[in-house]
Amino acid sequence: MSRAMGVSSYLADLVVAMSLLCVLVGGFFARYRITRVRPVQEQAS
Amino acid sequence: MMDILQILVSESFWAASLRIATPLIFGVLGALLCEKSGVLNLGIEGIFVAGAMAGWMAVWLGAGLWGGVLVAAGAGAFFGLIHAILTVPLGLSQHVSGLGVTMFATSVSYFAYRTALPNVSSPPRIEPFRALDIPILSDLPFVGPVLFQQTAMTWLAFACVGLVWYVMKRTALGVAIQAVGDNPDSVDAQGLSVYALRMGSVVAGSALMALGGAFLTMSAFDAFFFGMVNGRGWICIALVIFASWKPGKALLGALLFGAFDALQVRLQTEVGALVPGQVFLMAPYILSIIALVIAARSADYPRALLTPWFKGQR
Repeated sequence: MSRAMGVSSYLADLVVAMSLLCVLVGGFFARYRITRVRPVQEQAS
Repeated sequence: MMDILQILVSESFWAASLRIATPLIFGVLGALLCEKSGVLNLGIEGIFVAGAMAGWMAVWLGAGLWGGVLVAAGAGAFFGLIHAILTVPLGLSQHVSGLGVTMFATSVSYFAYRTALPNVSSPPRIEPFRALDIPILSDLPFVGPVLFQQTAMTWLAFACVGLVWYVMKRTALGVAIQAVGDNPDSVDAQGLSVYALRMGSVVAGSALMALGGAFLTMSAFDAFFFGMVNGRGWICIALVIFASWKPGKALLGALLFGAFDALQVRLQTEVGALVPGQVFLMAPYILSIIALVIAARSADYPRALLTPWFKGQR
């Protein structure tokens, strides 16, 4: 693939390795959901 | 048969065995330290490459040989820290993280090499560690050439075996590291930080692994080549199980593999015409597998190996 795209294989390997680590960390953060907690005053009104 | 016996009693064979075993000693000690704390470090192969590249590059850029050794250890510690962060506080898969670190460290090393030397076909050479010439001891028959004409890094490897053994068996830190690999809850109950102990062990172990790579470029050879690590890291992972996580046995396992490897090289030249060379190349690995199968039955593995630990969660 890297040859077809004209990218150096050294750079391509680096991108593959970083992608793997990013997917791993992404999987960790995907366990959590970011929610907005309304302030108490806003809830009362 | 006589040929094999002649090889086994020759000085050059045992000297070569020790030379081949040296990077394995560093690697197996590093892996042992990581696994004793409960973290499997499959990044070892990449950390070997990073250590080899960083040490050689530092010396080529003008640092002294011991400066290169420190730079290699620092590079190993850096990649070990990445693995430690991913596996200890985040508790991610140690297998996937380790393989990711191997890929990352290898590709960063090759990329750095190519970026620094874009149009070089053969790598520049450095002045490597020379064999020590100890007065009187180096001149002893048989023992002199085998033991006392090795480089300083081989002696450093032996010193590291003693140091790791001492720390593990005789210090409170060693007891804590072993406890965190067996029962992290008990360590937490003692008020010690499980995260700090595990991360520290992985970082220190990775620095040791990188010294194995540095030996290749700064002692065994005098330059960095692609593929020069050639699976030594994976051998170390197997040797840790063979050694049953004990530093003394780790030294024995590394020497055994080094002897098999040195023997196959000599057998190729002696009886290479009768048997295909690939058979000899396979021999050390097959013998290692057989030794592993026998030794692994009684292996005393850390109970919490591969088990992530989170504070407050039992």
